Amino acid sequence: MEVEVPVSKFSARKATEEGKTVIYLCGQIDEDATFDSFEKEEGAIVFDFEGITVINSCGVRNWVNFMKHKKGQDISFRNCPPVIVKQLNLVPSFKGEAKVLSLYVPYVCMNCDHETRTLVDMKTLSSGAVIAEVLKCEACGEEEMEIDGDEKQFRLAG
Amino acid sequence: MGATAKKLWQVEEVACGVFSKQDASHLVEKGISHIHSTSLGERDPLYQLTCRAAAENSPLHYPWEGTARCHFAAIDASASRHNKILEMLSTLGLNPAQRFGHRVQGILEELITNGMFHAYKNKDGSAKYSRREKTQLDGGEPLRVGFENVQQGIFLSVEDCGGTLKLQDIGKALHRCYAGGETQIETKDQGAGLGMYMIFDSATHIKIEVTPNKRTFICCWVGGKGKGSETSFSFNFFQKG
Repeated sequence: MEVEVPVSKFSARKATEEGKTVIYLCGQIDEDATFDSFEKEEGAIVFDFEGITVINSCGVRNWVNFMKHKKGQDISFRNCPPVIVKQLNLVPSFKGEAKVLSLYVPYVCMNCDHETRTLVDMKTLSSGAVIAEVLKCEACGEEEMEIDGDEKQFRLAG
Repeated sequence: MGATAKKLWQVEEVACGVFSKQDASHLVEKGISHIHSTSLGERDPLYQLTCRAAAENSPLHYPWEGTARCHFAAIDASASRHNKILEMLSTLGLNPAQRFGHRVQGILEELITNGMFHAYKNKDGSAKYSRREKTQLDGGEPLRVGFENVQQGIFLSVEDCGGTLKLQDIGKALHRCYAGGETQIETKDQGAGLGMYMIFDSATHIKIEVTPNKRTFICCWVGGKGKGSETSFSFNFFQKG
């Protein structure tokens, strides 16, 4: 079987969107990933985690230490993939004082193993919307797609 | 075994019941080296094997462990480990872009990182290799990584020649990590902490054999092709001497 995901080193790209600094993070967060260049970044910052594929314990430590410099600052996380949601649940200081704007909920089909994920806006959850427990599988057509993991972890991450 | 025979393996208490991973971490912190979380209670075959191991003072081979068909790879450099892990996943027929492949990738990463940065110590007890730098293990120190598809799951093992892992350190780390809060992440450069927590949280069965200052063998089985039961797991720590 061909491996479809190549090793992608960590990279970050800065942009300005609607007056806010947005930092797009990409690749794997490990012992080589450093965030020093954002330590002095002032004002509101949105970290976009969409491109993060892997994070290990060394990377978590680096990130948590970086977040200590951001206390009192307006920090948000968006497009958090399941790998980041897991860390948000396992390591509370990963989030620090940041707000989670959106995250991906992964689903797996109990009938055919097909996988997909749905982006959830945390604002809609706080206003009473619920995360769908079951989805129709786009591959086999059965109503068998269940959340991969405990639904609570996606609520708690926010 | 005669009355004067040397005790080869230390086996502490065995706990059996239905636990959460956090409950189990408290038991490890209290020094319980063998934990079986199972709804079968004492009828659980893995628990029975552990009781036999305790009676015989020797680790036994659990059915979830690797067989003669197990694949092996040597890893001696931090920079090349990511590609080697991807090669292992490919051999196992797993795609890291999919949930189960990603889970196995994460456990392999922590097992290897743990062995690389925490297994080897200087004479003063400090870590020989820093996780803040690119690491090349000295000759004779490469990690031996085993991997195999076993019983609807994946068997993984990592063996080092350090033999420095201690049950009490695992217990402290698990307790600290499950408690959360400011002390969850240690900033010091040594010790099995967050990585062990991640392995403990993700793997279904874990067995650790330590021969102090000579060898640590950590193996685990990762279930979860399907949802599986999160309350069925085991942790077994054997220490020689």
